[in-house]
Amino acid sequence: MKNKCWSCSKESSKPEFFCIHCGKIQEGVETNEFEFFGMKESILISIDKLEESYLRLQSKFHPDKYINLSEKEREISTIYSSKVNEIYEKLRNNVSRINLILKLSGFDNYDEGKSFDDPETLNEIMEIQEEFMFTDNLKIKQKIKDKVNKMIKETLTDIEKYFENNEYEKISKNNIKLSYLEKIIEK
Amino acid sequence: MSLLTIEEPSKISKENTCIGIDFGTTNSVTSVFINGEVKFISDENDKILIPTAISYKKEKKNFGNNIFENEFLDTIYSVKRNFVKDPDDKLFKNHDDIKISSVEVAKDFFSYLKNLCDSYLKSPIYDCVLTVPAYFDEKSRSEIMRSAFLAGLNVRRLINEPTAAAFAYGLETKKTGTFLVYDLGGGTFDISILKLSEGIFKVLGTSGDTMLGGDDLDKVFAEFILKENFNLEFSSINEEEKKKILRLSKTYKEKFSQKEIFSDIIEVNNKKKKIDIRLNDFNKSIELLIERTIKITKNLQNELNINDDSIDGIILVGGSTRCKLISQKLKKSFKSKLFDDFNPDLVVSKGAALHGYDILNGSNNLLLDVTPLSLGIETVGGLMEKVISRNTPIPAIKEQSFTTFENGQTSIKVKILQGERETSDNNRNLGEFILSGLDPKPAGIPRVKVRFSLDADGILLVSAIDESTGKKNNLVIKTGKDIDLKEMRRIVESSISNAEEDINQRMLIEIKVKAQKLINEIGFYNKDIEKLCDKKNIVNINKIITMLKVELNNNNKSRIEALYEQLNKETEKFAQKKIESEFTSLVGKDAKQLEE
Repeated sequence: MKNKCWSCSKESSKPEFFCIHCGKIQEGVETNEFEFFGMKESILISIDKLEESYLRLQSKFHPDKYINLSEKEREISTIYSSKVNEIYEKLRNNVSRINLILKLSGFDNYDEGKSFDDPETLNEIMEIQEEFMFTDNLKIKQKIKDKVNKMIKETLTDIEKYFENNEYEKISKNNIKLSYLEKIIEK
Repeated sequence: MSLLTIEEPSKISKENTCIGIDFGTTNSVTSVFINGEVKFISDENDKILIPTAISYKKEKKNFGNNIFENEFLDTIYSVKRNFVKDPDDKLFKNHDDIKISSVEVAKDFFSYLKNLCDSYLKSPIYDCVLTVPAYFDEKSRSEIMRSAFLAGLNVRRLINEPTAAAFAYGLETKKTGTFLVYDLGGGTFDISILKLSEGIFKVLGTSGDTMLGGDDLDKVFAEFILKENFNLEFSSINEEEKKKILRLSKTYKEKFSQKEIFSDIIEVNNKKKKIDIRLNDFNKSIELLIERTIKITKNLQNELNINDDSIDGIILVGGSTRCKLISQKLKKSFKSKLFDDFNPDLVVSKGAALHGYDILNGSNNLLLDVTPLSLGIETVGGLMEKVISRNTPIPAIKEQSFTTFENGQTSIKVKILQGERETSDNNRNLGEFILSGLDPKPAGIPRVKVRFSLDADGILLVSAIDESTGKKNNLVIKTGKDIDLKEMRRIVESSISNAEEDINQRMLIEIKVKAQKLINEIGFYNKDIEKLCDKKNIVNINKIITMLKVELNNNNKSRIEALYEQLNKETEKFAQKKIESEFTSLVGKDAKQLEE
């Protein structure tokens, strides 16, 4: 058994964030992002649930909670707290969350070096983008936003379907489309 | 995953005391949470609001409310503003007629505040939470923290002023929702958007302008008065006249809360004149500045995708928000309710005191903040590559791999930048370091991992590891003045445990650490120095090192300081040559990019 506590030197059967004997925070525990947040690996997630997990984890790991403890504990807490921040952002964003799922499934190389080979959809997206950029009319802007949001929703539903059927190449392609769509309304 | 709760610091027999310091451009306020409530600490004149002003007289220092109105020409005001530029410039002279920097002026002021707290609490206090403008960059943050450390304070946490205000406001009113904190102080403007839920304060984003505050309102009105009544440009009058008219403008601004029109006799360039002072003129003068704050706010909303409807209220912070025009304009531009029921001068310090109590004694409250400005490294053609983008929640640790550009290159220069502009020249240069001792290999083969670690204080630590050899950075050539804040904290903590120590002693330790560090670095580059420098240069370097080593044992602070400066200067040439010799073109580029 290698999971030896740095403080009390006692061991545990599996890696734990807090020593099961003395309660001190332990370094180097590796977990999958979804597991860390106590969530199921899925294309669509509940933002409320994500937020709840985020706050629960920060309440455990934020350096403010360790300020009176040793320097080592403060450092470990900073590493975990940063990790919680990073994963939170990654899971919240549709495109990065889906890329993460591709990676966890062993299909993370699909988006590299491949262009989006559906000229019709690409054209449509570019037209919407131009329309959005060249209008100052807030009402029109809102209308386009609504339309794009609808397209995003549809794409996500498609991706979910592909995920059920393990069609990772299709997920990858549609995720590129999703990233284009989200870029339009980002700013 | 187990859900063990974190051990509460139950070992502590009594409550830990921690003061909250709002070190403002115009006024400073300290407070402490004690016996279940926040107490503001007053000065010898029973005043809570202490002007951030220092006057150095022959062999005597005066602070805050102890400075008489007629002494204003010889008084240092708004020293905090210099932290945005170069706080180490020796712009002032102290009571012993020695040239000192803004960091040292601020240190003296922090000492004064600490003394007030000591006598209020009837025992020396070290722990504090210090607030800074949310939009302050790395350099400004760490230098302010350094000033406080030098004054013997142990800064347990640095928090952003609007965040502190929202913390106090939320705890007291128990309000929940999304709030805009509009903080216009004496020197800076901050806007933060926060989500408040039960005990949790989460900053969604922040923006601002570190050169827009009450001082600037005074200036534009002074410009108006000069132009209107004397047909003079502000830039055309001398420094003393400038100080006088700015002082007057400030007084008028404060008087508008009682009267909208009054008259005064003023003298500029020996010309006396009776003039009318009207609120209307004042409002017209400052209108553009106020509109700028609203534009910054709208931009932030856009960036975060938060529309007016989802904002539950605007909390006003900072003395300058007393200008009626601001509330008028805000009401017009936003649909949300304005909350000005808290004293805008005191709420920041109050939040700091509450947070200080929480972190030292344990609490369920949680304060989550973000970094205001993007951090990155310079790449090809002087462009900035972002490593951590603005409004990223802190703490944050990000890593990026770099590789060499030329065959056989054995070192890589890393220049660290902060800001939002594309080109590095337009961003703040936080410093550079050289990772050397790489094994000579073909271009693109070595892997150097640069790690940006931004802690909960918003203070950045950069380290680099050569992945092929596992070598940690045996850095750094360009030394400069910055001492590692971690080191500093260690010094302060150890000196506190050794009971009271004199401030001079602390400064002596600081300079000794810096000097030793420099000597070590030079030792590391010995061979390069012999290769690159001329004889005279080498002789000088060695001579200074020998003398410095002697003085390090003698503990003579001013001698060590002088020799350190000399040595720094003497090796600067070498640092320059070393950089030139190895980096004619580009230095670091993203490893992935180069593979393509």
